[in-house]
Amino acid sequence: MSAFPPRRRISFLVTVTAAVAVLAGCGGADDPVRQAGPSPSTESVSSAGEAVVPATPSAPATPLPSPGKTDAAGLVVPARTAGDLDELSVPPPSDLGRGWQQFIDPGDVAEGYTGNGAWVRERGASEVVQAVVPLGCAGLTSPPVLPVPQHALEATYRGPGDAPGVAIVLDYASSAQASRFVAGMAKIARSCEEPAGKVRADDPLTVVVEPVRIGARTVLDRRREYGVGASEWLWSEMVVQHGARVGLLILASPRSSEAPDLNRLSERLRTSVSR
Amino acid sequence: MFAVNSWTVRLVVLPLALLLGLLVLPAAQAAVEPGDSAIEARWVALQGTPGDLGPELAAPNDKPRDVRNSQNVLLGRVQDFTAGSIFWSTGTGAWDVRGAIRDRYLAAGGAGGTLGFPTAAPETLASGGAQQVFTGGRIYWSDVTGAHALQGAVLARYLAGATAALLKLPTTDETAVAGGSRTVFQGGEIYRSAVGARVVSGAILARYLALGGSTGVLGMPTSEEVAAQVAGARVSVFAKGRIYWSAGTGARAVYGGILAKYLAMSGERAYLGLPKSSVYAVRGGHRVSFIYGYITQLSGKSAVVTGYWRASVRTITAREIPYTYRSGCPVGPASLRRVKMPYYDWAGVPRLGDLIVRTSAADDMQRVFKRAFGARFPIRQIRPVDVWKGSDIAAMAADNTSAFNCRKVTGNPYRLSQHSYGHAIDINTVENPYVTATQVYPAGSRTYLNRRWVRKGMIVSSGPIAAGMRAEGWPWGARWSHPDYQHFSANGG
Repeated sequence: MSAFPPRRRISFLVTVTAAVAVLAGCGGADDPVRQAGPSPSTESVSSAGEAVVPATPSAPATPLPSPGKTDAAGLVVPARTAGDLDELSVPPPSDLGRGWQQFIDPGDVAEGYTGNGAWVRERGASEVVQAVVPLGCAGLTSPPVLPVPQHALEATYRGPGDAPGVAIVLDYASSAQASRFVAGMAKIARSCEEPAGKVRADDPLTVVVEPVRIGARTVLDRRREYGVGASEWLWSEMVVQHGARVGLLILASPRSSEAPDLNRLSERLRTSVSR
Repeated sequence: MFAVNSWTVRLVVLPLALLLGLLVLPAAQAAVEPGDSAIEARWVALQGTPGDLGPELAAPNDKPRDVRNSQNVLLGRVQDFTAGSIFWSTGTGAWDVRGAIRDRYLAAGGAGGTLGFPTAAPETLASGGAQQVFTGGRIYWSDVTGAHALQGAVLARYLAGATAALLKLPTTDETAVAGGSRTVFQGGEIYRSAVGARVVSGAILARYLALGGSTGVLGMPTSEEVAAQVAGARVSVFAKGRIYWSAGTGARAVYGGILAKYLAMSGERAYLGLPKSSVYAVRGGHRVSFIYGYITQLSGKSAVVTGYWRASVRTITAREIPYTYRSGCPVGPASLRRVKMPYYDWAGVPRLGDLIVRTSAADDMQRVFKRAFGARFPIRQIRPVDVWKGSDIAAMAADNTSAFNCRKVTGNPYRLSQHSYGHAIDINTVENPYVTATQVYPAGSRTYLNRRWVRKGMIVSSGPIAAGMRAEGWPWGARWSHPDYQHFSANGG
């Protein structure tokens, strides 16, 4: 079970990141790995959970096994590459703007995945095309069936204010399949309109996608959530195609702040995907 | 007082007046008592009346006389005839009372008794028989039942609603019993006590009487038969117990410590359902069998509830789980099942749990929870996370047990929680915390990180939950470096 409030979970991840990053020894000079210590909120006892105090018995940290092996939880540690895709296939944090850094997701065994000590990791090809579909899209009664790529690689970021960001590169067998994926994402962007009635705070979580630009090889949009458990962030999403590859990039920013320049970011993404 | 009846007036006074002159007549008229003329008028009106209410009144055999109560207060007048009497009072007028009704009336003290004066003539009833209304009650009569008086609360209850049609005619008078009275009717009985008059009838009455009626184990009825909280079932409440009835189970009496336990677990609405036996003896105590279990009360001990395993699996619709299933989820309602199965709660009472899981996991979970049920492993509750509007945090804090909850991993819109697929489950979340590097979830569960001190609801490796999950091939999160003691999943994640 790990549906933490966003800020708390982020704090947790950042905390674990520090230890894991040291073990992994990754992160370039230009794109430092986020190694912040626990935030004050991590130490506090909240209504959701309570801080582990030193006297509390807990298992010692377990060194991460090599990619492809299983960790202490029996989960397969993801590889740092996927087919021909590697960390050069995803945008470096510097492309995302000021304050963005690599983020080593330690994984969450309760959610069924584990980390590999790096900021990039292979994703299950079948699983990832299900996971990119937004949940609670009012106009999307029948989500498109997205084609399954041959390979998928994920990169994770943290930005200003602990804003999360994720990039995924999908490598298809053909550009036609890649186009079908982009067309599916375009349909989603068009379908997730503002609901007819106002979404109340205790209504089921609803995602609203505002299309910014939709083309044959590009889908740019912004996502917001309403209802129970809604994310506090404004999500800026980019989907670009380059040949048989598709790049996805989604970045969080405070709703009150200026949203990222999607056109500029999407071209950076396309450049990375083409590598 | 000089009393002159109407025959005297007709046969003696009037001829004398004609003979002796006008001075005598005013004196004779002034001597007639109030009501006597009304009695005479009633008698005259009844001449030649068909005899369906009893024999016709014959010639007067007595003079009108006073009716007085025990304090000698004059209440009215009465005149007896060969086969009946006519009673008169200022408030009621003059009415005849005849036959068996008169016999019963006079036995009850007549107009000077508690029944008071008749307020109407006897009347036949559509159901057969007859009744006569008095100021203090009614007398009902038929060839079969004889004549019996109803008064006060019993009469009021008899006249309310459709009770008279149910009970038909009384076959006894109101008879004193301990704590009140009992009146028997053709179709049931009315018991009067300090709480009022209560009707008992049908199969419930038969069971009540078999258990000794008002002097038996149940005591006097305190409520009437009402609809039980199970469709088609009825229940009557007595001072010391209850009788439940349904077409399928018959009328069954529950009382004593077994009833207290049954009611504490919400009675017929709870898992056990309706009783299908009355209290019966077992070695060292007593027991009542219910549709889905039994309650045993051993001498000197608390009643213990034992449930029978019964599980059902059915399909589910998106409308039933609006917070945990939404458009875009990888597993739709068609691939989910709603498993209703019992568990023992913290008080050792069987409850019906409601678990939503992947179709392929439904059988696994039934086997695991059947094993836990057999071992009486306590579970706080099993409810869909929709009860908490899809919030895992709230569901964990409520110590819930649940499986399916389609949601994203917080902070990553491109990753789905393992619970989105419906083949991961969290059990007794407070007693089996989830540990991260910095937090223990839910709040207040840290004490349960001491796994050597085994307390109620904790999952231990040798216990039925962990063993059952192992048998089904569902790994336990307790083995992780940051353990999740509440978590099991089909694929180990």
